[in-house]
Amino acid sequence: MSTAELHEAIGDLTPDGLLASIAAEGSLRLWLPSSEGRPLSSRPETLENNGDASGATLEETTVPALSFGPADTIDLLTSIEDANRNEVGSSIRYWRELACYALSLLSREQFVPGVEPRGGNRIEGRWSMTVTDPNELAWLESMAEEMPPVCRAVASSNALTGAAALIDGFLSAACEATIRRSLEADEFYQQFHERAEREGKWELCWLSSLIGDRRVIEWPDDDATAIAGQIKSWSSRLDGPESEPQLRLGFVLEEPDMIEADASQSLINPGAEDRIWKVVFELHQPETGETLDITQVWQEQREGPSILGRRISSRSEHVRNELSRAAAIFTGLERVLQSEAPTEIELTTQAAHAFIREQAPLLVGQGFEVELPDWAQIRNRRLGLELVVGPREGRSLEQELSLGSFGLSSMIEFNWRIAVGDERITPEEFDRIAAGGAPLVRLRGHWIDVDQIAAQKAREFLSRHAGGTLTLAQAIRMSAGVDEDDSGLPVIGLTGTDWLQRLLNEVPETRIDDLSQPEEFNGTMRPYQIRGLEWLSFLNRLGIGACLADDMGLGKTIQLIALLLHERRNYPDVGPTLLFVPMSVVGNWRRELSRFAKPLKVLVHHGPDRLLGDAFVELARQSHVVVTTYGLANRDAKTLHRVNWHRIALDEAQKIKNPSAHQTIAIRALPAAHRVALTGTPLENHLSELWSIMETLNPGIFGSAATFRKQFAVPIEKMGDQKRAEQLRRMIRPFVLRRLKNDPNVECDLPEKMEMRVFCNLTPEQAALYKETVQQMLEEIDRAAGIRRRGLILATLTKLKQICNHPAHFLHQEETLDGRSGKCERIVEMLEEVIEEGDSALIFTQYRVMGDLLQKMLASRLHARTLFLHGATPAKRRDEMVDEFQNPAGDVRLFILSLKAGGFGLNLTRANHVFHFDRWWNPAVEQQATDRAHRIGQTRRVQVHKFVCIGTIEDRIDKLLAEKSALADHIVGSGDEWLTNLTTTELKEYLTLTAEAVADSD
Amino acid sequence: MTPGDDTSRANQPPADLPADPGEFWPIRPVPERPPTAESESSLKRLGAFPVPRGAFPVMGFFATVYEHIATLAREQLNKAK
Repeated sequence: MSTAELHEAIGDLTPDGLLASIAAEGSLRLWLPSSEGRPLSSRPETLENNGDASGATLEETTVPALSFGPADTIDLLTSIEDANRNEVGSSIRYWRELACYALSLLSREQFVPGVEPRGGNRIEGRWSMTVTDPNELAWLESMAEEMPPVCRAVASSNALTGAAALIDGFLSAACEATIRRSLEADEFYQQFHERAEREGKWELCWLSSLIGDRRVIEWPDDDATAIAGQIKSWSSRLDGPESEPQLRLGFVLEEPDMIEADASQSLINPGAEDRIWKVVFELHQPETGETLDITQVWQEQREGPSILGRRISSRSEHVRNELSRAAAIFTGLERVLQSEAPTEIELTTQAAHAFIREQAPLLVGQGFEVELPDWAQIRNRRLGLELVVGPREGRSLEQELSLGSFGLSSMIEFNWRIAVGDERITPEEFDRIAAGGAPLVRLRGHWIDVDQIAAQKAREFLSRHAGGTLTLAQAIRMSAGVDEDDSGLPVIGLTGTDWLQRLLNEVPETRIDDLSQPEEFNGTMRPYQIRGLEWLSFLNRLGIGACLADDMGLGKTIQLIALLLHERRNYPDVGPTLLFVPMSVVGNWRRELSRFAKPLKVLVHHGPDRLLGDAFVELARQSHVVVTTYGLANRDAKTLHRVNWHRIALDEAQKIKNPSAHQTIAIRALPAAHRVALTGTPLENHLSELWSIMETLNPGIFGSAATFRKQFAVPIEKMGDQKRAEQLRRMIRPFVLRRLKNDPNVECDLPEKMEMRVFCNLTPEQAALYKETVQQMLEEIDRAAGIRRRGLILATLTKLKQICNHPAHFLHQEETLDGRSGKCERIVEMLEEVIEEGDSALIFTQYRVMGDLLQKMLASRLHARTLFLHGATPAKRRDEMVDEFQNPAGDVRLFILSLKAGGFGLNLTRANHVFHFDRWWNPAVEQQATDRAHRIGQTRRVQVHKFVCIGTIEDRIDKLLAEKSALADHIVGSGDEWLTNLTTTELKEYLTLTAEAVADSD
Repeated sequence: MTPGDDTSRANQPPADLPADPGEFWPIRPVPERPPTAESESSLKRLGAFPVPRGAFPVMGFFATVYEHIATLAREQLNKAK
């Protein structure tokens, strides 16, 4: 066959005729079975014509050949048409299978970028396949065994003749060439060559060497070798098969054998070196939970089988490799590696201590299993100091209060106790521990961890400062580590004696002061609300600012009103309370005060006609409560300063979360004997709010903002430091009371709340708009970076949400609303049922435009009068709307609210249905909105309907939130910002419309 | 894959190369490939990029490359099938 005939034959095999024509002509020398100087036929049907082939020998023969580049070879092999597959020889079918496999690896993203130093500052960019699946490696090995002989019959001194090497070479070349060609063909990637030359950054140079044919380039950086080494080590992480990925090496720490007599002693302090600890090696099979006998593993074959030159390690090799890996962390392990079959390592007490505290966490981080005795895992069973505070000279609370105002700055007595976790130890025991000098000491049957340097320092400290006096605030700060002492041991607790114990240690669920519901209170308080009143009253008497942080709907308002009535009954002459509230709930407070506390004189200081100057001062002095808004704190500061306030109260206290805001500063500057805050936010999760509120309630208690940030906010929020979080919880315990609706001590008698998803399909119009918007973004996104990229993503997200709501919302239309939105059609149907059943509903949306559209639709389709409260609704109208909706005799059953303006502070218990039409993706915000209806006063079961468009971004995020994944926390914490940090691939995954988004039309 | 004009010669054929034409030109099927196992992208498995981040987002770039290559390979594979 001539090369011309080869062109023709190959052209017939593939639909891509150009491929055959671009091939270079040449020749190839092959070892072929020959007889009498002539190659024998290779065609199956003529093999028998070869006659007696027993005398055949392999002769070097020149045959005509066509030459293809690697990427073209893959194109050719994978484009052989079905009809022709039986026409080609076994070697072509063989290589075709491998070519398809190479594409399969690429399609599954099983390849890695890398780098090879090429001398001096020159480097070569590399792409390699990653084959790690044992089944695929076994298949490749069988492919090597079954390789048709002609594939390795090239007669050349530099030809690869081993089957495994040929397959490796083929796959590597296929990977390199296919990726390079694909990237070079794209304008976006081409620009990297030019950018690399222009900007000369090593990243760009490396990336440029991975695109197209310019593999070797000059690396501009002085650290070329070091950087290349780091990249090489990174990209070779996936080298080799995952032979036994599931087997994990474990280390089990065993305590020294204690003789009977020793164990019974209260304190054994054996010195550092005379006890032998052991770390025993184990091999675990996590899937089955099985622990393998390591002695048996050592007896197994030392070398595993080989696949394509990559040897699968045997189990014994695996153990040895893993021990070597661990030896980099676990000092001393290298010495046992020299023995034939190590099963354990012996440690001194000193080394055991280092293993527990330093090496074990690092080993776990590297994927090893570590088993420590229980006592070693409990970090709070360490030696520490407990601060014990008590009233000065043993005074009772009444005596203390009779001497003048008590407060956080009042002096109290203190002394120190040494403790291990919850267990107190005697000074004698401590002396012996400190004298022994060992890092691990056995005390009363437990081993404890002793920082000997700290213990010596503490010993000295205690001899100098056994006790004395300090302020209550100092004691609290010291116990939380805000104020440092020089004891050398951590302060691990704060306890009080007498009435201070009630303040510091007891859970406020127990009775603090024996109070009952104020007689003038017009209603019935629940037991937990009475306990809340007692707590508020107790802290009030002590002059300590209190933060009532009960779950929404539990009646914080009622508890504060009860406190006002209670104190006025006992001290009729106390000055007025100034209550700051968000503008949207001024009316609500007025109504609640008049409903539950008729005798209280209430002045509402709000609106353009509000009194100022002398007129206000005069009237405020005669009032019991002055209700005003946060916005006026700064604007009317001068006037407000002129009144001698008995108390400053803050409703929805999270409004002062910004400590630098003018209104926060103005509120903090207002003098008052008492302060109280109400909030439904779990403060320990919002640390800036926590500091700001506590600074207002009890100035200085948490130190400066900078100290608090360093001490708590950064460790807890940025590093997830649980110890600090616990310390903070302890520290706020005296000041914050938070009960949840599901708390067994809270018998709130709230009816059940049922949450359900309402899944809606998109209409074809919505789907088309959605797809177009996503497509447009994906096209633009690769050309965008930084702020532009983020802006593009956020804008797209808003568009997608609008499209899911209604095409008219996205297209800014106001007419022709019916039948164009899946969600709207569904909500109309559901609201029709709500009305027919005689029920009422709240409908929350984020968008004012959507609220308008819904109002219009409901009016035309259901002929229902619907209210719509949004940010621009004047306060007066807002109150009227709430009254109108809450009126049982009224005809308004549907109330649309914008989530921001109506999501908090309102009491809308007439509704027993809550619809979340579009989603904020923050469960706390949605729950707060839901609790407008699901709160005290609600008598019916509340049904919550959360709308989700199937197959859209709404669906994806709803699922992520339901899974409560780490990403879900991120979503909740960052609004929509998290999306801007996704890669293009991830964005595509989240945003692309799935097939089930549009319902089949009938 | 790219033989070209080869003029260099090896003196001896590989030892295990059969001379019998029936063995040299075998008629047998290619071993069947095992079902593709679910596996995470190698880029994700590699983990964080080790070199301190400069101004250029290397990992973001690779994420785009992986997506691009995988899409093209999938298309070609679908056509091959």
